[in-house]
Amino acid sequence: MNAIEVCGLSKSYPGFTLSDISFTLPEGCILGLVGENGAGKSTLIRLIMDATGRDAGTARVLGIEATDPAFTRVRGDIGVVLDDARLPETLDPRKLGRVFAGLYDRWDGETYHDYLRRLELPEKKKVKDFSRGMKMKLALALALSHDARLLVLDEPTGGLDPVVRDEILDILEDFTRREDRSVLISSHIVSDLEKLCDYVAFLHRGELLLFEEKDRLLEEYAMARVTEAELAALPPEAVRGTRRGKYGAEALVERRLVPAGVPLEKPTLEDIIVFFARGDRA
Amino acid sequence: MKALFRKDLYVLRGIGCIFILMDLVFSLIPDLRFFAFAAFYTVLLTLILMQADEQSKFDTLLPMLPVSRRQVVLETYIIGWGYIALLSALAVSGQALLWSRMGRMAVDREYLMLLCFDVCLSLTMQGLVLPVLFRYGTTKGRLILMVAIGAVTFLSVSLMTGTVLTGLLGVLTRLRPWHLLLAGAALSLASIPLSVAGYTRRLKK
Repeated sequence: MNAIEVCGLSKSYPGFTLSDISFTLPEGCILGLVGENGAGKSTLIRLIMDATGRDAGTARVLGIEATDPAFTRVRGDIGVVLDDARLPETLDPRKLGRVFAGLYDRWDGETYHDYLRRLELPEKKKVKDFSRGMKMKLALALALSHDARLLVLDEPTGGLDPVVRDEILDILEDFTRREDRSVLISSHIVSDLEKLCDYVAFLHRGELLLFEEKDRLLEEYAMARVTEAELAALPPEAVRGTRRGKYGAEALVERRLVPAGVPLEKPTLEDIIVFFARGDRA
Repeated sequence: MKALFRKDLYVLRGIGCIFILMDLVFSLIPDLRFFAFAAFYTVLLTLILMQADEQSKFDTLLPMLPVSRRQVVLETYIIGWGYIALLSALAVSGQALLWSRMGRMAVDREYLMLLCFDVCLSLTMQGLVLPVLFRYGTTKGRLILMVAIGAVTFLSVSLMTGTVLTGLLGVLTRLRPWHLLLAGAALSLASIPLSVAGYTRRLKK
């Protein structure tokens, strides 16, 4: 079964359009949704969870169409973490645990308290007195304590220091050890996603520029650091993006289309995303 | 829905105590038979709860949790009804206590009528205000309500001539307490689908 199937999903706001998004996330996989601020990542997540209306398209999550009334129950199998946590500010983790216990059928209080201890979160301190990192850790603890089959995370590491980010990524890695668990995580910190993801989707100005298996992407593309003359000699269909500097040029190329003999380097996911976004600019 | 009640009761724990304390004071004022503040407080209470959710942006997480839109709306109504019931009970017992000390009958027809009028007013206010708040949120909704209240007040003052007022009072005196309760309850119940539709429209925007 697929964890998420999105087909032709579109949504327009004044001044912004998310157009014709289609992709499939197989069960047990992690999808990293990458894109600059305002690319439409949060809108796409809200559409997938049917928290906002769509103009066109379909979204099936854990086998159920998100607009189906039965999807309310399916939400019980999904853990959600939104940027800035968005939890009631006057409650503390202990009270939030009691509230969430009433929301989820498979809520496990012991797991929740384990996470609170592991993440060093005080049980009796109000959410409003938490730092951003603490709020995100608390949101994650709440999302992980009901045996979710799918985690949907919107910018969970944004604005956090590297130590907390690493801690959160560790927890996510633990979560996906079980084969039937899937994750959709959006971020503009590509290095975080490179560690974690099986699939990468790249949103740019409301369009899905790329959806591919991460390993395949890293194999398919390469960086060519060449002179201007060598760059001009490359087959145009091989070049996906270029950057010219004082000492030569860099190009993201499709490995199989580049003639033998051109020195190629393994790209990072960030290289691929940046060059896809910029194209021939710069 | 139980989880939402719990959340709202936690949020209300601080503010709610002040509300109940004030209600107690009002209910213990001798011969204070008209509890118009109840209608205002009922609206204020739900407004505070919805505003707390909006301030913490919990209202954007809520549609992604396993609760239906209908449950979200219904829970807010039930909190309001519960508060009206509590307030009425406090008012009746407070006045009964005072009147027993004075050696007077606790509940006469006039008192009962005024109490029912007040409950009806509270339910009516709830029925009129909640659909607007669910449709537009508390910030925009409050503005719309203020404009609407201003317009209604202006129209009432302009149109309430002596004849109209006498006629209205005539109708009111012919009513029985249960007429008022029924009217309030009907209006409150009828506004639930409107609130659900408004809330759905706000989310779908």
